[in-house]
Amino acid sequence: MRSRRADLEKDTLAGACAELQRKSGLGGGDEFFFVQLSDSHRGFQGPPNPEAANTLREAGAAVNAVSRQPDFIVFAGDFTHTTDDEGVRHKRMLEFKEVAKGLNTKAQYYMPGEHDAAFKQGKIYQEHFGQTHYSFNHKGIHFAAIDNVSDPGASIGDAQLDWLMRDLKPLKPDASIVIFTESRQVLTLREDSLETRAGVAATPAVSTAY
Amino acid sequence: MGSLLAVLLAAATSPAATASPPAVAPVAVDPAARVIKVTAKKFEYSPALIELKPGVPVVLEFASLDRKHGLKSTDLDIEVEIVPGEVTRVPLTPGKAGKFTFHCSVFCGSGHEDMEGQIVVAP
Repeated sequence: MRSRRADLEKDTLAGACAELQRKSGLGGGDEFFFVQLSDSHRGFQGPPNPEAANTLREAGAAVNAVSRQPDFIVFAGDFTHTTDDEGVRHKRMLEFKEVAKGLNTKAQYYMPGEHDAAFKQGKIYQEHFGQTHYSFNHKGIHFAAIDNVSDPGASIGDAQLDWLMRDLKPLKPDASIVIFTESRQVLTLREDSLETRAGVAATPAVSTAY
Repeated sequence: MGSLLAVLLAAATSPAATASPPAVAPVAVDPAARVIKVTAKKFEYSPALIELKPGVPVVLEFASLDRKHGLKSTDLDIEVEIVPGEVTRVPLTPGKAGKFTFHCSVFCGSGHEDMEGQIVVAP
């Protein structure tokens, strides 16, 4: 039986860097690219990532080396590995932030993974990185980060769902939207509805990207 | 609109009983159905391999030995929480043969991603 961890393994860094270099040379005008970094799992030890202490630094160096820098970087969760020790959790998050400071691209957005935030419903995460759901606009595209990990059962909760509905409502029908979530299995965006474990709610008639 | 380039690097339960055996919630089940008890703890199910026959009803009876866990199988349309002190019962009559994986759907710590099992349905 193939392990789920194996299914979650990401592309190799070398392959991703080659793709990054290729795409960084494309386009002009309104065209842009951003980098998403996730699952560095700082503090993890052993297979399948025996180099967890170094992978983020290496990925950051690779991004810094690209001739054209990304417009922004999204840290999409699980940048630290979970621990029940609060002191160790703080330490890992501080170490992560130090590495992130070394990136040339200073426009950085953070969102939690369950390893970062499921412990104590995201309290310690928020002390270091602030709010766990938010939105922003960039060159005509609306981006929203959804927190579906601070609840260990992966519910986004009524309050966040209400916020998201209010956030999307003013957008035009042909708006382009990018949603960031850490857990893939909970949030499903459809053309006319948003389905979560909390139920299905009507959304503005917007096209979506996921 | 400009192009966008992203580069990726990278049930049924009942209230807990404290000093008495776990309570069992009322769930409509076939009284002749075989009951299969499954325990969950960090980060494993026991048994992790459940063998069933097509068309033969069973009741899966889940209990946690430590903390809240979950069990989800998309193929079998099962998603339940497994809470300490409670018994979660899932009536199941497999419709077809096959191998169906399930995994923990409630984040339970380092090792959560490896907490999984399989239901094998064969004649």
